[in-house]
Amino acid sequence: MIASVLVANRGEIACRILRTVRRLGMRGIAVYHFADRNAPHVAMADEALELTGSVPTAAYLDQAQIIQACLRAGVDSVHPGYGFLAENAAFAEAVAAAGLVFVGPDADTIRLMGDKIASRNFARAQNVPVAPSATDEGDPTAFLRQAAAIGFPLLIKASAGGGGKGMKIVRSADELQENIRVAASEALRYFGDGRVYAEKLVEAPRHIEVQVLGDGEGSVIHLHERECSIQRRHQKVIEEAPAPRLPPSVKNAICDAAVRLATAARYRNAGTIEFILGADGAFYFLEMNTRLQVEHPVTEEIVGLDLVEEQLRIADGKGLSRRQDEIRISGHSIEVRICAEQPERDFRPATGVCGVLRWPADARVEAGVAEGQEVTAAFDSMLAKIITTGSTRLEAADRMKHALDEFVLLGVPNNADYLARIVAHEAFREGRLDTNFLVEHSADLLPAQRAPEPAAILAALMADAGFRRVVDDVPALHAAIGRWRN
Amino acid sequence: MPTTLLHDDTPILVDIVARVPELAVEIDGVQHRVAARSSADPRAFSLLIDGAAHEGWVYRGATEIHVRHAGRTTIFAVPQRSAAGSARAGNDIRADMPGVVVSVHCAAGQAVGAGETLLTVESMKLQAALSAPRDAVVDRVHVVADEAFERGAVLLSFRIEAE
Amino acid sequence: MILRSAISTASEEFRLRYRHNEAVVADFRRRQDEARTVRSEQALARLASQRKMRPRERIDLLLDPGTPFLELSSLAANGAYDGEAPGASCITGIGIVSGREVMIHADDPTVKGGAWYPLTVKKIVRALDIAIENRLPVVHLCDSAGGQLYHQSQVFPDKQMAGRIFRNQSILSKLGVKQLAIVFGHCTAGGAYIPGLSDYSVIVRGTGAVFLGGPPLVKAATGQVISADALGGCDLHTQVSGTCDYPADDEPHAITIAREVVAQWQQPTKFLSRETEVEAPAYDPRELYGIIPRDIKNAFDMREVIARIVDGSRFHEYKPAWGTTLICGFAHLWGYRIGILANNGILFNDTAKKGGHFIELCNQNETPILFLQNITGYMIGEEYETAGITKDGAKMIMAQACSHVPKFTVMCHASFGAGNYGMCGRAFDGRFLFTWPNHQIGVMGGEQAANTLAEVKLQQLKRRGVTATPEELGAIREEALAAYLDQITAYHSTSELWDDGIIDPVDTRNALGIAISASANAPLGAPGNGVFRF
Repeated sequence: MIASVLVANRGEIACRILRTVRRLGMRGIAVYHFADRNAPHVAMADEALELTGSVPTAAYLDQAQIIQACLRAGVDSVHPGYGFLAENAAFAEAVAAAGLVFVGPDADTIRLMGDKIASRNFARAQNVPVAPSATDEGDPTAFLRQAAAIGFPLLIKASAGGGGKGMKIVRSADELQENIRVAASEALRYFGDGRVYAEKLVEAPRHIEVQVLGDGEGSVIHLHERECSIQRRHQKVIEEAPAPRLPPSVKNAICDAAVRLATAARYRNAGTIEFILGADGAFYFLEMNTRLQVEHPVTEEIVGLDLVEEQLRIADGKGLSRRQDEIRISGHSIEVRICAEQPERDFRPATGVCGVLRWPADARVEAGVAEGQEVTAAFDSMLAKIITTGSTRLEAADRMKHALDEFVLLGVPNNADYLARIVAHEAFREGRLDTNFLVEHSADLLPAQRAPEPAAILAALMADAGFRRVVDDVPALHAAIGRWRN
Repeated sequence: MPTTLLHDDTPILVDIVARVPELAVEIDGVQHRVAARSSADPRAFSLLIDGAAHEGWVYRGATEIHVRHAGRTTIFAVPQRSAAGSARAGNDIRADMPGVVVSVHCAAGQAVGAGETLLTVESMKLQAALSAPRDAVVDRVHVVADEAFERGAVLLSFRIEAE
Repeated sequence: MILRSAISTASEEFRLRYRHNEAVVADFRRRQDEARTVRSEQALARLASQRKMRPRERIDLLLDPGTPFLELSSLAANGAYDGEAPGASCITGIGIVSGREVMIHADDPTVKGGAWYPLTVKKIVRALDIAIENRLPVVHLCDSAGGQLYHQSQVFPDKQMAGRIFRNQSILSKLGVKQLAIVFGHCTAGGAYIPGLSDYSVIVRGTGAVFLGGPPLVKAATGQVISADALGGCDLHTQVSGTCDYPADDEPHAITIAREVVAQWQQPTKFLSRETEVEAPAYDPRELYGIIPRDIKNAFDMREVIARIVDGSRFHEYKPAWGTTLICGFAHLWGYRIGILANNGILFNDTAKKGGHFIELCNQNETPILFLQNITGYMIGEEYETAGITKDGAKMIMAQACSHVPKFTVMCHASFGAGNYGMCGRAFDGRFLFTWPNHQIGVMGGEQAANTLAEVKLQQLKRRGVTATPEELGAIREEALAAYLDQITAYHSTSELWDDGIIDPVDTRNALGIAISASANAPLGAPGNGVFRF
């Protein structure tokens, strides 16, 4: 019986998890690095334990310290959130070895799904479509031949990689060898593992993923799909559920494939199986994420479940709360990621103090920052997510546009205006989405900088005490005479 | 002296034309009349500009002013040029106290960035790092490690920049 | 009560006067503009090559935007040194810097490298006298080659010469009145003491230098060859000698620092109270052009002037029915209560006594006094001497000279003879004295002086046994008149710094407002009088 949970994470997801933990009457414990001392997850936890380390992100990756914190706080479970230690098999083992419940799958599943090549082989074995590919088995000549046989264009990816790092697109045979060499050396540098594989490149695909829940005993249900095609350099920017303009046959095939895979893995926990979908309706397994996703709220909104609650329930051995036939979707939900970055300056990461922070009134907000908090370069640039739901997709989009207009974050340059332009864009509203969307429409989405409006200039000046003094300190008589010369 | 704001590194010059009967300023050659209306939240602004009401949010950071107005966030930098530090301090680094050079971290001809440590010196049992007051090129290091110096001695010179 | 103007702006005389005075003012503006802007190409090229601003650009940048600058003696030295030193090669005036009223003194490097002529020194000393009397902080914008060697005997040795600048600086500091020097160019020899005696100093790197002897003098004296920057530049004085306080990268930076320094100064206590409700005059001040006569001999009602200067044209006249050739009364100007004495004819026994009495009323009431001069003298003749006109005139002078309230004088038309004394002429330490361009000043009027001078000449000729023909007599008289007339003009007067500058009559109200406001910074002196001859 889980009575207390240590959240081994920070930011919005730590807040999100703690909210459910506390709603369920459990004790919620936070960990934090000094750099996060003013962060909201620290304030809302029943107890917060400090992690030390000269590099703030490394503190949240320090397994020994976190296990120590669990023991000190006397918790009986650990929720890893996403990122950091969420898909670290060794950590899952260490948690179990400490006699605690890890809210996630077992270490073997993490290992299996964490390995690109192994997970693809596993998927193929379950009849889940996998893009034609070739793996380097230590024979470069054979690998080159097999890769060329896939046909062009193709992708070279790092076996241990993710997030697009070390990925190369190859459009013709004569570029192949050199690209394999470069990708392998980058893979070695980024991931400490130089193995690469080649895969068919689906041009301008959609990114469709399926949310599943598994009890670890072989029961798996899916909570339908999400569309995450609005991406910038393989980073999701806007997600939604359900996927728009998806033929029911394709949707069913994708969801069935996802359940097949998770069932075969006797999957325990909430998980996501990601696919790419070509314009021809063919879809291919990409990877499985064995944790809660950033974009899980859009699924929650349309199925009416709390995924963190489901995770805790499963971890506690209580199984699934619903059967597949009890899952109904209603309405449409959209999520945007508010990031500290400057779209007009090539998305350069930004820092600052959240001087003014006003959340939209009629939207779900998952925030990891509070007014007055400093945003440094120490952590990921995502600050918050805004989620709107409507009975139709357009209603959700209209609400999102309104929410973004209402949203105010001053002090930290961010992408809110850029997001507002995306959700107001005609192609987005028509649901014509693919992963090339942001590049294709960049002229509309990143218009040339206009000179600031006089009203903005004047508002800035009036907020500046230096300027106000120049205005107000002049004696009344001289102010009345004005700029006079004799 | 007109007030300068920077937007995207472009200076915006604002001159006060009159204060009476209401504030009048000139921005890029265009005059505007401004009256501030009180707002309950000091971070919210409410201005009457040329008779039209404008509302929004404003945040004054240390070196920047952020404004949210009409669905657009605009960030202005406030130029920081004051007595507090000459942006381009002198060409010599002199000793504030007599002491001994502990170590030299740069060499003649080397380009150094503002804040970069150039010398470590010890005076009266106190070690101090002497850093570059601005981006510059070292012209000469006048001392070597373990060398003693008097107060006011020139320890290091920067190359005089061509104007 | 509100003064009722008796002027018909539709009359032909109004039109003629208006056109005449418009031309007089246009001539003044032309001369002023020339003195301010016309410089040799060489001087301007030199300035540009040094990346220096012109002194007026420096002042404009220093001042708070959208605030006034009351320039003093813009036509000083206009009739001296063959016109070589326009404005006496410096600019002085009162302006607002970081919300504080300050006196600004700026050298003008576009005139002979900013060298000090005798009248330059007189103008700077006067500016500092004003600073002392009115407790005005001073900002010096230094850029001067030093004293004009050709005129050294008129610059250096006497009481009111260059040493007086440094004496005044020291006294200001003793009084707690702040001074800030910005060293834009060279401060050589005596000029070095300007930053040296200022409480604060800023120096521009590269162009600013302070030394008692410049490189040529050092070379001549010791044979040492040294650059100006090494001898007395920014880094030397801000890092080694401590002679200057703040290093600046360039001129705008220096001005930014200066504005910051001034912003640290305490706001002054005002010793005069001011009404916050200020009405503009009910009559258009431009109508003054239609009021001032075309001929110096013509009289006009000074109430018409008062009505175009004071708040709401409201004037409370004292003793309106007695001693009517001197108008006395109270008014407000830019909110400050003032007493006004304005000539409306010759001073008689009763007018002199009325004036003296009114000055005493102002003293008791701590009300500053404005004198509007249009005076051809105290009345002469047996009747008046018998009645003691000298004795009564002396009473007025005694009361006026001993008054401890701030006094201001505007030379509106004529100032001839002893009337100048009673009405707070230059010798009587008024805080400010401004002159209208139409004004004339002298011991007597032009006609009388010409006749007197011609008479003297005739007597000389007679003694040598020469008799002049009527034609010769006329020529002698014309020559004497021309020479005399030249000396009594406002331009001659202002050239010699007998005033604080010629002003356009329309500007009178603003000039006085700024002047009175400045005067309110100093505590009133102790009241008291000498012996009145009753």
